[in-house]
Amino acid sequence: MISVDTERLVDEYMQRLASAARVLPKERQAELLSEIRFHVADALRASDAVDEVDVRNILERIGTPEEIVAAAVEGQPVPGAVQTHFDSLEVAAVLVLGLGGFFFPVIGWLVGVVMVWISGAWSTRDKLIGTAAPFALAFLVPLLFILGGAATGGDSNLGPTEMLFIAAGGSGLFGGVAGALFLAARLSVTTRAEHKRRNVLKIALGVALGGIAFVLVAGLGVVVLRGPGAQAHAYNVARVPVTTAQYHSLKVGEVTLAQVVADFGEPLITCSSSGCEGSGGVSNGQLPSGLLAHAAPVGQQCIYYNHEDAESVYRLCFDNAGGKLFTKSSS
Amino acid sequence: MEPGGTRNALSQLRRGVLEYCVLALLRDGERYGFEIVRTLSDVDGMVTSEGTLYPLLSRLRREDLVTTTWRESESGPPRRYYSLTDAGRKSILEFTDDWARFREAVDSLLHREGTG
Repeated sequence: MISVDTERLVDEYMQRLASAARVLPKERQAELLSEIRFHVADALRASDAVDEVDVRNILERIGTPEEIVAAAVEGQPVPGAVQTHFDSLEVAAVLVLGLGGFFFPVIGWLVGVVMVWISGAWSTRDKLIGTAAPFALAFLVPLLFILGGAATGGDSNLGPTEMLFIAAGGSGLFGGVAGALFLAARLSVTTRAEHKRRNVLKIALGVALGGIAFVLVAGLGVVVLRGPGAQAHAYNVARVPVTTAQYHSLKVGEVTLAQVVADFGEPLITCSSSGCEGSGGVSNGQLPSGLLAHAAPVGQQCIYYNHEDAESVYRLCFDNAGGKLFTKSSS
Repeated sequence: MEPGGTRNALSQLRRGVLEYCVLALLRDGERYGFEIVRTLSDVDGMVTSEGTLYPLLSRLRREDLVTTTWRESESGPPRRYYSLTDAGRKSILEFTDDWARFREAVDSLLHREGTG
């Protein structure tokens, strides 16, 4: 008969083994635990008299849970060792994921995501975290805005739409950076032991690869977003801020769109009744100060210029039929 | 030679040959874990901690050198029985030859008479 005391000894031993074995894959934990449990049972059966000393001897012959698990870990990849290997692809992926969005919103980041998922250096969990970072931020950023707004007594001059816009843009960009930093950290944790010179070579090659990816994405971006030959659209016209005096000199019903553009240069944004088109780095109807451009009234075309204080913008709407200035406003 | 060098060399040797000793035990037919482990452990100096043999058995199974089946035992509950696969049988045959050559080579060097 096994007494309560000896049973307790075995139970304690099995619990220690179970917790030590957690570093192993699930099915191997189960296999090891079941084999040791059977071994203990067989050993007890093979032993003539079973008292506490017998049980202690049996357990001692088996060895400590730690050394058994150490034997199981030996010769198999240690948890995290899947990531020991990193190559130029990983370096390039981290760079494109982190910085791609700054050069080409969304598309740059997407290319980084594809590169990350092609790579075998990260676990699926790490890849998910690295990819999901912008979405996580997209929830956090508006929350911060709301909290910030409440803290300043709700004195924010940003409407909910503007806030959403900034949140989406900001979290897209900085979420990309955060994801890239996380993935880079997951690489460096496990590569300390590797030869430094080889790593430097890999990083150099990775930077080059990243550069090539950028150029490719850049070319694609220009073709897709602006259409071939759109370069001639004079996007690089210097945009001189319009002064208050200049604004007041514009006479409704007299000045034409062509004259204004000739005087002030290419506007920040041009809106027809169907939508807006930006230039010079401004896109999707968003103005630098976080203000939004609105579609023009039917039959009109509206253009936006920065005020010299860079805080407000001027909106000039022209009648399509006569081509003359119809309304002007500042916001 | 540093102290304990002999013991270290022996433990390295033991580690290297242990899996072939396990395969050799299965040449005559299937055995269950406790049988294998106790047989090896009763051979002096082969095994220090019996439990560490189970990870070895698990690895041999994953390397497809042995297979396991659950079977009723004559006495007691059903047990996991280990038996050789064709690959395992081939492996132990090869090692038997290699080991004989290795042992002779080491012996001839250790017991060489005089120094020519």
